[in-house]
Amino acid sequence: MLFRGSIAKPNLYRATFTNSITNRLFHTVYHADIPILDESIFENKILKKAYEDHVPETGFTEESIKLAAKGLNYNLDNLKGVFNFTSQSKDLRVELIQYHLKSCRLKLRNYHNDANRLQTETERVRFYLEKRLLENKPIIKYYHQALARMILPSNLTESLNELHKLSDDISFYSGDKSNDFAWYSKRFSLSGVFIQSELFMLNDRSNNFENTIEFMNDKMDEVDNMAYAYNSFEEWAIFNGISTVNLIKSQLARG
Amino acid sequence: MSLILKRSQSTIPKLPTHKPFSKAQQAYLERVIRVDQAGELGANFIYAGQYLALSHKPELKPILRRMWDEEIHHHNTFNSLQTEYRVRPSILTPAWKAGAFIMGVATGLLGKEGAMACTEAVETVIGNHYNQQLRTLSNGFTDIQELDSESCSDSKTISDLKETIKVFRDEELKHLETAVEHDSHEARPYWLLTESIKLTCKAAVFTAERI
Repeated sequence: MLFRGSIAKPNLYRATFTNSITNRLFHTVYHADIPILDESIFENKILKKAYEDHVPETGFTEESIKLAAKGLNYNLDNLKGVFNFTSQSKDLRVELIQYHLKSCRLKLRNYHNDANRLQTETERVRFYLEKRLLENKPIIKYYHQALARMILPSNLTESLNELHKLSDDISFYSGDKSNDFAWYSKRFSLSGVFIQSELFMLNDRSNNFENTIEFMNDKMDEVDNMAYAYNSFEEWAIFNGISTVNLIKSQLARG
Repeated sequence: MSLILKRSQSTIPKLPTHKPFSKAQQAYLERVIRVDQAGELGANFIYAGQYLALSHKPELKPILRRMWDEEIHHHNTFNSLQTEYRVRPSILTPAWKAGAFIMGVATGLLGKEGAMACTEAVETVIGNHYNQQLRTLSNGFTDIQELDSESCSDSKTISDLKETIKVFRDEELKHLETAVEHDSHEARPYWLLTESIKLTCKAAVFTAERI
């Protein structure tokens, strides 16, 4: 019933971000992945130019997008109209912010070789978090605008979705193999650390954001300690549970 | 041996080999992996509970142990598929663990016949469920094109998944047979016990597919 007729047409995914409001997707090496960002789309070309050339000076504003469109020789009086048809939010600034989030998430894929040299999962998680935080560097001056817009109720689902995808990507790249509730706790704590570090970063004036990285590492230490404490308790409880049952059984067997 | 080597050398394809799934197909595959993982986890814990309650009977111990080992293998297989395919595990995993273990212990305490009736009911539901999945995997995934040739075929992901489910279904149905051979029909109240367990399993399947 679910598959009556042919629905497998990849070009369904043409629209800019409309498909981003799905859950994290089934992934396998034998099938092509749907790209995080399709750079060949007209809207994304404008956003790319705006993000790279104008956001560092003019911030996450409509002004940046207008400048970019002008720079690309698109004569667009009705930019809003163009994005209205293809974007979820119908807000140019949100599209720009989403472009920032997605392109930074995409760039994490460049670091796999370096990350794989690290021994443990938590080291790799910290490595990816650090790289992701430092990608905020060029636009950090205007990042408060972006954060303020992201937490508006109308944009919150979209931003949380993107946050979850980031922590899911980082967990997957770092070799997470959890099969139970740990899957959720890992991603939630990772998202928490990331948000706290970003907020810290807004006011960080240290050289190359050393303090932010240190803050992130401290928070990750806390998470790791919590996980260690919980796992130790669970191990202790299971061991004692089994011992108790075996003790009772042996006493019963003696009659 | 040389045949296997040759085969594996000649079949290393350039990855990926196929076009993306549609969104409905992706959603369906996620469900399949999630519910099967939760189901095998449940089976694993039911046998753990039954083993705890019944392993003092020497004639039952090897039978339970054999079936339990197979369920552990199934569970591990779906665990590795879940991480490989980036599927979210069921959020109710702790509840499945506790519920399945309690069900195992409770039916085990009813005695050999109760435990076997539980196995019979569970494996009936699981067997049907796997068959349903195989049907959908055969009918709903015929339109995925290969990247180089435009012709439609099953990718290795789909054919492997079908093969896994087929093997597991046969093993589950063998458990069902074993249960019937070991007097599952002698359990009292047979009808009430098996039907309520079947209903519980179906409700769990419905829930695990979604959350």
